[in-house]
Amino acid sequence: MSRSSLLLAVASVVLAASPAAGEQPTPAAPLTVDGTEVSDLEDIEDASFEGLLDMSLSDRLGATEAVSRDAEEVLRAPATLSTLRGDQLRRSGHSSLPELLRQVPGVQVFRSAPGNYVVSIRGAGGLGGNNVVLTIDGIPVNSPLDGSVDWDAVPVHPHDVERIEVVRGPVSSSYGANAYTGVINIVTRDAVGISPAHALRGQAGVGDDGSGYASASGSLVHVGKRLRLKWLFDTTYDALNRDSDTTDHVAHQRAGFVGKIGWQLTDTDLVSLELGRSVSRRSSLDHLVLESQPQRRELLFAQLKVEGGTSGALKSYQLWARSALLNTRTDAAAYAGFSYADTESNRAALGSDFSLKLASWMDASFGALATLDYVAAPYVHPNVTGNTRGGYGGYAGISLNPTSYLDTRIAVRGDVSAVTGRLEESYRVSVGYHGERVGLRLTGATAFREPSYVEAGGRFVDPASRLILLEGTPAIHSPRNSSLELAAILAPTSTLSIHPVVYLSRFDNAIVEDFAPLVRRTFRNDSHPRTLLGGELAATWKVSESVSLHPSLSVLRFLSVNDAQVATIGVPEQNAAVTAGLQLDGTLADERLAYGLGGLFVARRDYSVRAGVPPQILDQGVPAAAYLNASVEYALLATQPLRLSLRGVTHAPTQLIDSPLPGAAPLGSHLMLGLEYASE
Amino acid sequence: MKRRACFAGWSFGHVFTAVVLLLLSYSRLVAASPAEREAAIVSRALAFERTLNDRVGRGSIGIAVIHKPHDAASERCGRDWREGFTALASVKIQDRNVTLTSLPYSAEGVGRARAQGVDVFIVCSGLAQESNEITRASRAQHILTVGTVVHYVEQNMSFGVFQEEGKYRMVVNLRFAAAEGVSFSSSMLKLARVLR
Repeated sequence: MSRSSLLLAVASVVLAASPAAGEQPTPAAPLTVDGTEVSDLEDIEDASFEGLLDMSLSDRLGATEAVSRDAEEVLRAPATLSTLRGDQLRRSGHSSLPELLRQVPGVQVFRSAPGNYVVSIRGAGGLGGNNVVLTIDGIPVNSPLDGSVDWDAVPVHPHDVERIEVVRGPVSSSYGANAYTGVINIVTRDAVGISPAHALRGQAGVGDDGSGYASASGSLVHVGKRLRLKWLFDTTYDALNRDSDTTDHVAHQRAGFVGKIGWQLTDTDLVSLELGRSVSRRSSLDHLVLESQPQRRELLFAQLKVEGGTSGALKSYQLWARSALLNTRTDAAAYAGFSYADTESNRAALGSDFSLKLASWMDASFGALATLDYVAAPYVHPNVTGNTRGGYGGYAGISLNPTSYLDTRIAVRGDVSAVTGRLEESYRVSVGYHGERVGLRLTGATAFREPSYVEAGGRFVDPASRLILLEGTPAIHSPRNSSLELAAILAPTSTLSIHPVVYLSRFDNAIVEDFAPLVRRTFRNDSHPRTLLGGELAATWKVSESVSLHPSLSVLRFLSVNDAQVATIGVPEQNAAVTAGLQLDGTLADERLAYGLGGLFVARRDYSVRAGVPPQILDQGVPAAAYLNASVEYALLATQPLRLSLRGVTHAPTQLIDSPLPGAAPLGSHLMLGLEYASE
Repeated sequence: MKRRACFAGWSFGHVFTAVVLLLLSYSRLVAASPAEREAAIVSRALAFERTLNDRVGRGSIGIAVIHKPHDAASERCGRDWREGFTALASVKIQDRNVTLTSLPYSAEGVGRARAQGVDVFIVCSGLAQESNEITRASRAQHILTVGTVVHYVEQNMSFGVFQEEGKYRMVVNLRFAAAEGVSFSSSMLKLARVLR
């Protein structure tokens, strides 16, 4: 018998045994979850919900708009994204948003005084805090003056946050200027799913030095057939561990709200107006002002948006107008030198975003925006202060999905900066593979930071000596970050996902500070690039239905740097080379009791920088430290939505000061008691 | 001389063809039965129903599959669900055994279900007109209703498991669940489509 004949005979036998040929139905395979037959289990609880629902990796990771500013699966998003969900935030024990961000690998946080934080991402650790874009419900709230983030002024209580999305890596191709090392998007709670519709809470706490804390916050959310309403408010008095050995800082006080009203025009089109306002008071200590005086800040942001989509070629569209205004007031006479007195900055923007379905395997997006800045400050050059300056930008992107498991994303963007008037380009190319349990992505991207009005147009004359202590450089260029990143998502079981990332970043044109003569602070670009290699690991393990573990790890090493220069960003010693964390959270007693426990180790950092106006040399080491947190929350009555909570934070060393600024306050330890009423 | 890949006299083409034929013949065995999966999901959801202990007491969990008599589609639905639960006969829920009952619909039958040890109604297709009577009985007796048609859950029943866009999805109607004295845990609701 020839080989072909034998093959045909075998094929006939096999096909004859198939259901198509016979009357007997092929028996179904036994139902298995994570390799175990469900019918062999003793208790159904031993099978995960995710496994029984046959949830794909994409289903489990969910969707986001934070990376590309358009809805997409997290699995296919062309950047590394970490999401802190509401439950994790509540059970962490922390009461401030920056403290919560420490858990995210690659994020570095330091606190100088109550409410006074600097957050940086992936090696851009410095003193300015202007390398990250912060958005609240997609609305950027960075200072138009210098791109920094006033965390004290963010008018959202952590318990009114639905989730925090931290995008790491250069994403200027989606966000424009200052998404230099990442974007942090705070999504406020909405009455979708099981989120409470009304909440009122109070918290009171005490520090180990006898200092106090009190806050009152709440939310009111209504989602009707057409009308959507949301109102969140937060008032905080935070004097916890506010005094150092040398400096008495003012307590952080804040009152603010976020309101949103939306009207569903059709089944798919929505018009909304969102408004946020806060007034806060905190210590003025920062990289330019080395004195601690009471400083009042006012933040106001607003956005009017029309958005919708169709089932046709136009997948989605957004037309929006927004504005962010930040004012700073302080008593200039109380300062020995430079202060942020009488600072007003406003950025208004008009824009549009469109997403198209060109073919079953190809999507495209494009958009444009125009901005108008108004900056007025006594330390900004008379040619700049009090004037309006315009900028504009546009972007286009394409997404190719030749198969269900491969995709390619390309995005380009050009922005003409209101500060420099120059065109800055940003790019991103990403290739991804998505299997049942594995996702791989290789991304190359570039981003830029817009020089601040201080760096480009600053001018401060000391009233006493008439010396110019601060002078900007009009021709200064934008620092750039180029990065190549390899990321993976591994899901060996339905309850475990592991996210390792390796990246290589290069900072070009870093803005460095010169002092010529020695008392004048000026700025220029450093021609020597800084290259760093980093890695991050985050995992989520649902140990059981009521217990979850979240380990994290980050490592960072600078491969090349010019030691002679003092940069505002990207100095190796200013970055913790290793961080490692573990968070555990869960519930007991039919979810009446919720708990969280966590710890984070951060390696030593050394700062040798010139800060302040006139400059002082700061030679400060921040020791290796452990940040520990715990919380317990109990539903007082099984049938009524009233919960009592106890939260605690401590550090090792106990009087850890993790800011290099002189007179920075220690973090200390504190306990907080809270009561919350929340109902649907 | 042209080289060809070969093994034991078989060319690459022969081997490839044989593999494809074998895969074709086995491809129909890959998927588990939808009925067994849906029964497993319902059982898993019951494991996180917070009032189950109070409603069931010390005994086993009674599940009644209600179908419409003399309606072929409804009877087939009932048969499928019973087969699904039978496949899980040895698996416990909240450390309790499951007692399965077939219940041809009658107003008297659903009205005395609690006395018969029933804690859960699985309501098959074909009972749209009878759904009001069924839910009246379930709310009076604190019996959880699981609708096998999504319309049932939208209209008056508490819970269902359906395939939406090729994926299994739980649907929970919180208002009707509360009326039946049922409360699901938040960890389960996060994975469900919640109707209010």
